[in-house]
Amino acid sequence: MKKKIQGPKSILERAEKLFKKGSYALAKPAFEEINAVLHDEDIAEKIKICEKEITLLETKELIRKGRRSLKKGNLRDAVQYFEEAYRLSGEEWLPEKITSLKAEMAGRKSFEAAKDAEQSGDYEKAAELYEEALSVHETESKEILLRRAHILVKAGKYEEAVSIFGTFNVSDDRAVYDYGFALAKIKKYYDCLKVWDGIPDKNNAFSEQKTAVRSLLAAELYECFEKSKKCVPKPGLGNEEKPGLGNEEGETAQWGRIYGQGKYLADRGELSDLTEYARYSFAGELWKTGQYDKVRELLLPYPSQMNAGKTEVYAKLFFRLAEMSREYLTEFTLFWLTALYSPETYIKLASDETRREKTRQALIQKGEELIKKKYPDCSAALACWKAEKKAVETLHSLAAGQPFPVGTPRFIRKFGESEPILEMIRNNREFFSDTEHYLSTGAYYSSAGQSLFHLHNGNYEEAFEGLPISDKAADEFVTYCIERVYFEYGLYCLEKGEPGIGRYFETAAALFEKSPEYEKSFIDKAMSSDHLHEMQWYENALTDIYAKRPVKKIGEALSIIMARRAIRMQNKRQLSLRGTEAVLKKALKLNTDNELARTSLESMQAELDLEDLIRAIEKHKINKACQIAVKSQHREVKEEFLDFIRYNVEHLDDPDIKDRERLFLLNDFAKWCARVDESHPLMKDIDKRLDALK
Amino acid sequence: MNPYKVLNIDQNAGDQEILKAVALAMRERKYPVKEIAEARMKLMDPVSKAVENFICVMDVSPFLKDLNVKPVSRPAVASSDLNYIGTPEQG
Repeated sequence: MKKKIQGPKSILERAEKLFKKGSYALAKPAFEEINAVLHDEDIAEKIKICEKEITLLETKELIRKGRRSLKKGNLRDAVQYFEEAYRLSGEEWLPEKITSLKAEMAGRKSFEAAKDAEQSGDYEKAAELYEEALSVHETESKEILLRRAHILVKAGKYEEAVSIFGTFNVSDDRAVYDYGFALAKIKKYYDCLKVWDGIPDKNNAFSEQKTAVRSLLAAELYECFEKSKKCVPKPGLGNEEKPGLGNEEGETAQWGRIYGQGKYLADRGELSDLTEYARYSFAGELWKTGQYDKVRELLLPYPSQMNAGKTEVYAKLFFRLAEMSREYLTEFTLFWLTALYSPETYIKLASDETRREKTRQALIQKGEELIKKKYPDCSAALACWKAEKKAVETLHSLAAGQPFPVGTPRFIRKFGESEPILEMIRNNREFFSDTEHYLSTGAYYSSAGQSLFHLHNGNYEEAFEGLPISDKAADEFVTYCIERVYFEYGLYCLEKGEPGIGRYFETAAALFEKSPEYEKSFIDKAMSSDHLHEMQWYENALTDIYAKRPVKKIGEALSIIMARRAIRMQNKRQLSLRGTEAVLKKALKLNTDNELARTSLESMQAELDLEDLIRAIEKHKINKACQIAVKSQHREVKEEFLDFIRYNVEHLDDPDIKDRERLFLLNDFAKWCARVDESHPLMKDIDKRLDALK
Repeated sequence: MNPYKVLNIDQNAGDQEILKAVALAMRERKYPVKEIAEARMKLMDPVSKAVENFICVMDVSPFLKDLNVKPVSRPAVASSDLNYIGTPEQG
């Protein structure tokens, strides 16, 4: 079919239609065709738009192709596509991308070249090429860095290798070996061993190499130790001049290094004494700079053998620490007094005896003030301190002039032997002013002594639990401890209101016999008891104690508590008058000077007589009632009886009562009334009535 | 308060040295005058000086006495003699 020839109008319409649909590639030739004739500005503008849109589409296509090539790893094609796209569009981001891709292409070349150099044994060249490759391979930089570090080790450039390995957490066995090897080569033996500990020791060559490095470390530490030893052990404050040995910080760091690295070898059975030497020297240096917490870490655990010098060190350390925190009060009191009473330390305090003693007393005072002023709420710590001070002072006086280990009870228990001390106390019984002093001194040093400290600290349960179990053959000091703990544990239970606490006071009588101060304290507590259940408990306990120890003070206290409790119960209607009377009489029997019981009994008597009188009247036992009224010394009792008679006399006026009967009754009334009170007006009334009847 | 630190002297300083140190400390004004005066008072009195000596000076030699540090000779091998053996597992 012959193609239809289109007119300019239809060509323009078609071009416009294609333009609107976005088919710029087709629209453009149509517009050009028509504008060759028309030369219209609008059409020329549309041609420009079409050209622009066509370029844009082409650019997009080129970038898409470039990216696809990049994905396939074809850097060369990708670069070509991106370059063409840039030529067309002039997009701003494309030059940077193109440069980066070109650099990557160059890096790959370097990486490949580096591998070749490595294989041919030219390690220095390989290292350089890896460095070049690194400049472009950001994503793979770790792998390339490790390769470079490995090559640097092979090339003998250990410092550089170490600086690279140091930036990674190296885990691969080869890298770990390389890192350690490089460290060993630059004489960082300790670091090398620490790194090599990360890989298994699987072959002899490696084991031998490790051993060699350990030997090198040991020799190096020993040399270092020899140099550092020249300035230690000189006790000091950190203010001394140290010519030729560097500054104090340097010494501290040096000892710290010897200790830290020596510890590594000591843990594996090498250089243990050297490491210990460094540990204590390091502690001495840290002391000078006031780093007491670190000194404590270095000086703990305690050595197996404690002597005067070491005790003094711990005393000073814990004094400083206790100044900062109450947490260290226990340790401070453990060492302070023992150190000051040690003859070796004492002799160093001052040049003459008078000043020495004054210094010791001043230091003891300083220790006590630390507890009192710094921790005024720590009454338990102060109580322990006082108990230990008394014990150690006694021991010091006892051992005067004798070569005898003097120490506080807790110190002796922890670091010494208690038995020789107990033996000395036993052998010097006459030295002690009284039984209590003798027994309490021995008790603190005995096997049960810790329980007494628990008592001071208010740890009653621990004190009780810590006592020896049913030790029938317990010595006098242990027995004393048991009695003290039972006594105070009993009081503790009483305060808590626990039932069945009588058993804790079974040994109280024996304790009171030895230590009257506890008897006094117990009596004081009993006398100040205010609640009925407390009174009852004290009454029971005092009754038991009195049965075993019938002394006046206990009897008096028991008498008063009995009277008080009975009166209180009577007031609350929990005890009858008769019951109260019986208790008061019993209390008076125990202590005839019990004024409370006496006066209470007297004031109760009227009530008691009235009670008896009413009971007799109710039972129509008028003769008995009359007898009670006669005997009673209380007017109200007599009046009560006479009122009863008056009432009956007045009822005789009843007309139903015959005269004879009336006469008989009036005679009886007159007889009773006369026995009680002859002069009472009722007598006249009765007489009048009798006369009238007669 | 450590009077030795305040006056920047050691425990062996005599009275003259203490007085000089006091004058210097007053000039330098590193510590308050009250502290300097207190330090002077503590160190000029023999008993309180002995107390401060006891508290401030630590001698660790009692720990060192029991130790017998044996000499360690240099091993036959030096770090430069160590040979690269590669990955230990590979032998």
